[in-house]
Amino acid sequence: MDIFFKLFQGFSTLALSDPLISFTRVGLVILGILLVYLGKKGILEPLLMIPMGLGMATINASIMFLPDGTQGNLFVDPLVTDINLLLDVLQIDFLQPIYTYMFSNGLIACFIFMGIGGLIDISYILQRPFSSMLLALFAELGTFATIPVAMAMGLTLNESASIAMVGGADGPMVLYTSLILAKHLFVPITVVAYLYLGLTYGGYPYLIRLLVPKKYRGIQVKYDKPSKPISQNMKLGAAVVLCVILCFLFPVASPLFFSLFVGIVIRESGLTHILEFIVGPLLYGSTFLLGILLGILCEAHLLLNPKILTLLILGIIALLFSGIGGILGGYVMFFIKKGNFNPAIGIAGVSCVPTTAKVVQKEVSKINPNAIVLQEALGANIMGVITTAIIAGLYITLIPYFK
Amino acid sequence: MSIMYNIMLMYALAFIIGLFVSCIIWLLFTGMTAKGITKNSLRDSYNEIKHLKQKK
Repeated sequence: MDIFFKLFQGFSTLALSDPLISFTRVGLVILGILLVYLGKKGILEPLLMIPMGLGMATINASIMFLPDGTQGNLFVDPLVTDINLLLDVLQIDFLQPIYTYMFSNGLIACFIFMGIGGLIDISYILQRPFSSMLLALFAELGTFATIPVAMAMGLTLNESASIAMVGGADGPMVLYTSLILAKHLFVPITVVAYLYLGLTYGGYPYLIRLLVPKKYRGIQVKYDKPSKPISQNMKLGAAVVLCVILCFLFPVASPLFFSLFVGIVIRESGLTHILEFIVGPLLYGSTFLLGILLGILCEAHLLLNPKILTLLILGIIALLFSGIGGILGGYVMFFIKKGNFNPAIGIAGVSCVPTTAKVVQKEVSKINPNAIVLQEALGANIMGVITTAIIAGLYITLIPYFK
Repeated sequence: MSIMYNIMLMYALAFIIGLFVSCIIWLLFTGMTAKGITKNSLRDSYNEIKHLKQKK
């Protein structure tokens, strides 16, 4: 029997652990497999959920006895802080270099932002900045409204602000803010955030159907005047000026602003080879590594933080509030434009680029196949990225003063 | 209570900054697409005056 336990350590650690840990491990293995299935089915975002699900299932099956008698794995140790120990771990755990040099310093978030910048077209926000900004700001409701809820549930202000950032639905921004404001909860908050970002794909259509009646959901926005043509040079100039101004306003969020705008600038400069690299290998490679790391971080010992259940509840509250806020913004625009606006577009202000914009277009097309609202939705979506970065800057700068 | 006040203040501040950023974008766009006096328009008006003088 002893040889069996030594040979098949995944099972022996399961049998010899605290029952809570064992059950959580089994639950996470099942959840991981479920995420792969839902990702493959297209119910959840497959790019992130497939590597994340497999990582989650694998890490909870791979717990073994380390030479010092404790339980651990050969993937990553996110809690190591001692420099000498870190050097040892870097030579043993194969994902530790990616975690230490890319994930925990926000580099992976910046790479993803560069890729997103390379994909987005800022024409619409240049033509109609006020309406896009209004929708994006309304869709940040969850980012603010979740803080008092979180504090009532026993979290500190820093922790509350970090989890509330999930309402911005911008993974890199949540990663960055929690790293600065609540480093001890950085791993569970980031995992919760990315897990829920996959859920927006599956959950927001129901929110749209619930809050926007069919007769409004099929509205096609009409414009009196044709749009002015915008050259690449105009977009390039605007991106450069905006990047500099936003960095002047919030130097704390400047790595993210720079990453986003450098993607836009490369796109508009016509540097096709670099653009192909950032929207291809860099974006997909970073998303893939992020998915794997997030899955690997879902290890039972690490996730059994007493605050994890609270974070799970708050994450969904934040996204729900933001979705409701976005649709509220859509209705405000509907009344401002005297009925010439589709309120469902408002939810695209939740800056999960381009997921929420795609969700809006899909829901609108179901009611009116001729209605194209993708342009307006992407405008709100892109502005949402900028507003989330502004709010991250506000939190990082102001929250420490409110103690 | 003061936390609620601070949160509302931050949301209001986000709206103000958002409005400021939108104004900058609007100014940039309006400035870049405004029709200024170009060489061509100057040449056209010169040709028109020349044409009118010849007519007299």
